[in-house]
Amino acid sequence: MSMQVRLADLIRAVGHLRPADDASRDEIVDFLRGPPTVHAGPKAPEIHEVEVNEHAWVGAASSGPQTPQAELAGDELHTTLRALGAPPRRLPNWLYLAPPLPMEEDALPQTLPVPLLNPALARAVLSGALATTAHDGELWVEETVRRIATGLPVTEVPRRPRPTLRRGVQVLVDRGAAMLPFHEDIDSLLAQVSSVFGAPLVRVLQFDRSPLRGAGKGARRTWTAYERQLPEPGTVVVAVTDLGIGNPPGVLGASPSEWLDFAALVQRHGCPLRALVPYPEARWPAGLRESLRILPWDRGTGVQRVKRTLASERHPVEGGAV
Amino acid sequence: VNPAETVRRLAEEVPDVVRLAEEVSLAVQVDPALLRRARLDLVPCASAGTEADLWFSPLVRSRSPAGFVLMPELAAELRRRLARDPVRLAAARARVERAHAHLAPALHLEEELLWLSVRPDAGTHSEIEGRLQTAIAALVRDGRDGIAHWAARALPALPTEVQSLEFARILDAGARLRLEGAGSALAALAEDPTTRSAGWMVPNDFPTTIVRVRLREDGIELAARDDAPGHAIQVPSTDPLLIEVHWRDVAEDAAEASGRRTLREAALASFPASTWIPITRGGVARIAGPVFRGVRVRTISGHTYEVHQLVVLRGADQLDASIPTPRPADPESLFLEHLDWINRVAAMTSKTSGISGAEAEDFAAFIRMKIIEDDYAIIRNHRGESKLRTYLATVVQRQFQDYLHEKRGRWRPSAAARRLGPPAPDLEALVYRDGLRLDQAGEKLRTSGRTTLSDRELGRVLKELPAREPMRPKEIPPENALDDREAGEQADDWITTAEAEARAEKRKDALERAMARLAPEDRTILRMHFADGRSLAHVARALQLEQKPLYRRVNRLRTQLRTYLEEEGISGFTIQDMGEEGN
Repeated sequence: MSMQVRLADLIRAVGHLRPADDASRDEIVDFLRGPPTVHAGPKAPEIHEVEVNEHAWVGAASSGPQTPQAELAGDELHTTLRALGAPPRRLPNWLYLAPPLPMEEDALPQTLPVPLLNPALARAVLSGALATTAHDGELWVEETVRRIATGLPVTEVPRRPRPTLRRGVQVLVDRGAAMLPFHEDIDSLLAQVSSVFGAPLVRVLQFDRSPLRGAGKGARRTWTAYERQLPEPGTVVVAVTDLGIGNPPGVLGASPSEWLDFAALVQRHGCPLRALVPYPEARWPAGLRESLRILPWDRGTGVQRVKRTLASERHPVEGGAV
Repeated sequence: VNPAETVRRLAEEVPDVVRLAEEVSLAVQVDPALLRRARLDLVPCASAGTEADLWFSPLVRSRSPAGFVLMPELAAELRRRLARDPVRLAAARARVERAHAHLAPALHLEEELLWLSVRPDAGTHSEIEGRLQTAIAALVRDGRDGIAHWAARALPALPTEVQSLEFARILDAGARLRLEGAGSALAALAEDPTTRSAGWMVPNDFPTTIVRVRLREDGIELAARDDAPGHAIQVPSTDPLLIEVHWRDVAEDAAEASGRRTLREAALASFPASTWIPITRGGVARIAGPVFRGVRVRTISGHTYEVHQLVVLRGADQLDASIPTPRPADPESLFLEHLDWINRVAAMTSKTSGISGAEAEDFAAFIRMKIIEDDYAIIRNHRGESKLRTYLATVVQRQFQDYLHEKRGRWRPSAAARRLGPPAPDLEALVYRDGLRLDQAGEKLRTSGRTTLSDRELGRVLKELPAREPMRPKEIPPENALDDREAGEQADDWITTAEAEARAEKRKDALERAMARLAPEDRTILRMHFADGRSLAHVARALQLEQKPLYRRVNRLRTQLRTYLEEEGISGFTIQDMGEEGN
């Protein structure tokens, strides 16, 4: 049954009865509508969410859209809209009482990790580990006597060997993924090496996993073959690396044979080679211990350990001219 | 996989690594300084290699030079193991607090929550709630939108017992509302009697959209489209849109007193999960039921409207008139009407993406052309789900990506960037794709909440990435080449002055030849508009041409000119070039 009130009926009824207030007018409208179809008990309305099609609203104003079951079938009513506004936005009381979150500018600078080498020993350890031997100490009387006694010609005056830093150092820094945990430490180490040698005597090159894959000072794209960047013979080369021990997911480290090839190259060029490795000795690749002088880069490394490691290194005997 | 079992097995294989992980499990991000301190204090027998073993262990989800983040579920298990010894737990907490004094306050708060979630003391629950209230206050009361980014990342990683708290749900809803416009979490809260008035979480400046309400004899229709008939009400633009519907003229308590069910209650029978009626964008919710003489609808922000039957007598013609359906306007008129807006959005999009000058102008022309294309197909496709202005703004922003792809090629992060995880891919794109300096890229990432790293830390990340070139050469207008070359640390990478001058000369000659191929009137239009800077209205008056078609004509000429120039081997033609040529 249509629930619309016929206009003519309504005009006639209102004109005849002349209702005094809105309530009476509403009563008239309700009467003209006939018995209400509203169910006595509460009827749960159905809510439909329907897809919209291009013509969903065609003719909707008067007769209702011609769509399937979900579509409402009744006529549209003439209605008015009244905005009742919104209550002022009131925050809950607890929100006013909550302590404020401090502002970010109050934050302090980030702290650096404690250095891997014991700060009290770092200078001595680095001096010992990166020094070369120069035969320009005091006169070596015993050696001179030995030569004369054995009938050898004395073409030069033998002098006692002594460690020196004057030849400088080439530091090869491994920037591969396996050294990610030690980035801050590498920066600290380079600063310490510079303070030991003096900045002009320190040359830093970077590489990824093995220097034989390319090395250089700046961005990776500028790296070139290491063979062309070998230092002067006699200069110490120190590699700060994991020697392929680290195991970052998805990255294959350098093999021991790559490091053996590298060690052979450097030593052929007449440069002593050392490696600072942040892993304990038990994990070093066995085949490398003979070819490289490896030092653990950690708290436990002291001067004695450095001496023991370098004791077996052979140095060319030098001497001054007679 | 059971986290407890995973950690137990790992502890059998590498006990030092797991013990170290337990010590740092209260940290949001484990940085090298904290890890070193923990190792030297608590596992002194372990070597530096143990630190590296932890970095690369299956306990870690992502890593960067600034530190690593533990897998959330395994971190929870590590914290549980740590909490078995209250003394160890307290020491670990103190260490994290000391080492992370520099962190952002929100990260501090997150670490406090992690600690409180395993602290066995009484009163922990209320302390956790207090911390969450602080975060909500920062977001809602103090308007610190950055908290939304933090909450979106941090909440899913917090222990389940924290996530299930009412205040955590409020924070989640507030964050999702601000970041995604998501309304579902808000509706769920509004459903909960304890948090029913969730409208206070909606920011005052939250965008709105129109929903049309129509009362019919046998129900109500709520349509989220502009062209639907019915009364328009402004609704916060959540997804989905949410409206609460009540019977007319009776407040809820009065309805209950009279024994009548509110529609809200009735709707509950159909939508047990929500009393809020969700309306998808462009969709229609129809509520069929008894005859409604009127309804009261309420938006999630608390705005209330009444729609009721018109019973006051008026002229018959008014009563018979159906509610008019708005006729769609002519797309060209809409384009012209919104031209200023399109230009403004294009300029803003360019600016926020670090593009300026000639390239920004080029993008503006590109977008105007796109909108005009195919007889204003973009405008004709507007389905009324939002205001046309909003729709056009979205179009401009989306087309910006197409523009960049067309101009520079598609960009994919390098394998190294993917391996390092956030923010490496974003940083790589900003530096190598967009050509930003490190400090500019850093500022952009921090502002958008994609990182908390400093420039120094980002520098370290960048060092890890392979250097890349843009897929297509970056266009540098000759007059800017010198400035750019001198500006940054990559000065030696920029083109030299001589090269710039030669290129400018070549472009100018090519432009002259290309212009000569155009019709005289077309040349005049282009020169007046671009070289002399006259508006198109002025050009139309001066040449006695119709203004409306002139926009399309100018864009067509630009395309034609670009084609001619490309035939000459000149790519990336910009309006700036034409201005120079005219001068």
